[in-house]
Amino acid sequence: MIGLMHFLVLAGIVFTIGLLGMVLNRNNLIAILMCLELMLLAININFVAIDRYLDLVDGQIMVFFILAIAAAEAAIGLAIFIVLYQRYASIETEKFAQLKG
Amino acid sequence: MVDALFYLLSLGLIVASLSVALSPYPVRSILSLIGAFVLTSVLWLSIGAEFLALALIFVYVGAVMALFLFIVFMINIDHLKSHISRYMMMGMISLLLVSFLMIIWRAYGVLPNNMLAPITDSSNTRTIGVRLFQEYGLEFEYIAMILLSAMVAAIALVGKRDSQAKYQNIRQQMDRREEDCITWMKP
Repeated sequence: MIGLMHFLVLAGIVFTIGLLGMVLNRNNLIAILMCLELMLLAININFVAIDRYLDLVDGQIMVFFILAIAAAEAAIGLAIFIVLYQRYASIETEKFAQLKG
Repeated sequence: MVDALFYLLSLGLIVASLSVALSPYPVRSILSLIGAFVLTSVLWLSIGAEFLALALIFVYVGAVMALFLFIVFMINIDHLKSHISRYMMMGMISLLLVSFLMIIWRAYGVLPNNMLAPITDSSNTRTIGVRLFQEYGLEFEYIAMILLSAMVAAIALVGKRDSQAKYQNIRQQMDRREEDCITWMKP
């Protein structure tokens, strides 16, 4: 039977893949934001599975809040990308090295 | 049957996440991310979290991913190059797979596999709604304020005052009076 452990292992794998993508695509801001969404998804899977295991609703309400915060974060992040693109004509993280000594 | 569904969905989810992380084309990784959200939604449906399954589709696939697609269409990111060579990438992926296999092997051998609570007949949406508005009312309003401030911030960051476009001058509108603009003609 499928139990809690299956969901936790699945969420761990998805989270690690998101982290790997963040490390591999660290030059591309949009890919970093997408991998962040993937990691948030893994955390949400954990929340829902443990909530279903304990048979409460609080975990699902927390996931609802996380969804709202993630939507706000994505909107502001993408607005910042637009501003950066207007200013530097690129969204490579290498180009934002003005303060480098 | 349910077990087979879980394994199928999680295999699809892992493949979709790898495609998000490793695809060189941004549009392809956005579409894979949409696929990952849909698969997760089906997974949540199968364990009885119906409201969140549908909210995930509405919020992520409907709003956030469409926003990502717009941004990718607006920004030219074809020329981005990766710093990590192909061999390094392959090495990291195989290291990851080996560690996954070890985690799964150890976890299944040692840790207890607790069963999830059985799915009841009561409406999941109704339960969440009652709980949300009874105990989490203040948090709900905080979320509303955060979303409002996010909207204001995004508009303030990107919305630009264009000299070509026409805008209302609020002060001028308020100062305008009837006798300035209407002339009564004598019959």
